[in-house]
Amino acid sequence: MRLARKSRPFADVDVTSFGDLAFLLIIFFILTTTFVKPMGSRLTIPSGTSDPNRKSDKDFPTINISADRILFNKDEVSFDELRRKLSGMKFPERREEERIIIVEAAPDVPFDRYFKVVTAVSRSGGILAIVEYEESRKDGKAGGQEASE
Amino acid sequence: MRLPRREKKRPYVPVASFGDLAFLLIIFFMVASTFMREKHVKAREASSPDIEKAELKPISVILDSEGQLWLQGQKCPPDALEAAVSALLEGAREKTVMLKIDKDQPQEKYGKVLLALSGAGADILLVGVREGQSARPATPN
Repeated sequence: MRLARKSRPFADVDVTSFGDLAFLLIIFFILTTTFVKPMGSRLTIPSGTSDPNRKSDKDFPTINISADRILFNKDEVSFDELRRKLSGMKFPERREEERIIIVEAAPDVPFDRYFKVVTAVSRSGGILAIVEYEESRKDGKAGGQEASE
Repeated sequence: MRLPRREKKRPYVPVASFGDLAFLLIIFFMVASTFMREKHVKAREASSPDIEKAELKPISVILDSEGQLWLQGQKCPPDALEAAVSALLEGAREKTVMLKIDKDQPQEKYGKVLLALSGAGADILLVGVREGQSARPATPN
């Protein structure tokens, strides 16, 4: 006897909603993504080469940083006092050559300390001139210094 | 005379290919995105009350916690930094270099980096954290 074959239902996965799902995922990530913005300070440093003949402390205000103290024009100041003095100098109202500040740090000054000072100078509108120690100076002997110009 | 009424077709928009389209978009953005180059470099950020939010810049220099210098995520000898940055900046409209220095590095190390970047004609964006915020162990980007 011949039995009638049952007709099998056609196997079909409905993928129509996959599109909606994918778009929802895209929209979710677009809305929830936050782009990391770094925190920082733009330094205004005169670009160019070092000039060993230039006397860096001739006319410009000078900040000397050592491991335990900060000197502003040879007077010891706290960091908050330095910030107040810098903002009192009203750099934005001055001409460019009158905005230069020499920052000199001892070789053992950690960057964290230096960073605080240079960002304060930068925020006040000062132009940073970096002083580089010569090898002889690091050894404790007298020696010149170079200012980036 | 009665005319036979035409059977109206239901409007149908084929949306099966939308899924392909969406996945192609996802793949495109995955391929086109650039991820942090310096994730592997360990440099603790210095802190200051005088910093603000800044834009990401394409050129980055890092002086890590071991005193090793990195340019664009690749190790760079200190003596070669100025020339390498000059070459990167040549013809570039954006002259800003993002500089991150480990907070404990001494001046004899970071001073040379600052002078090299200055010599290369770069505008320096010093990266750090605002005082009071906890410093992250890895790079910012």
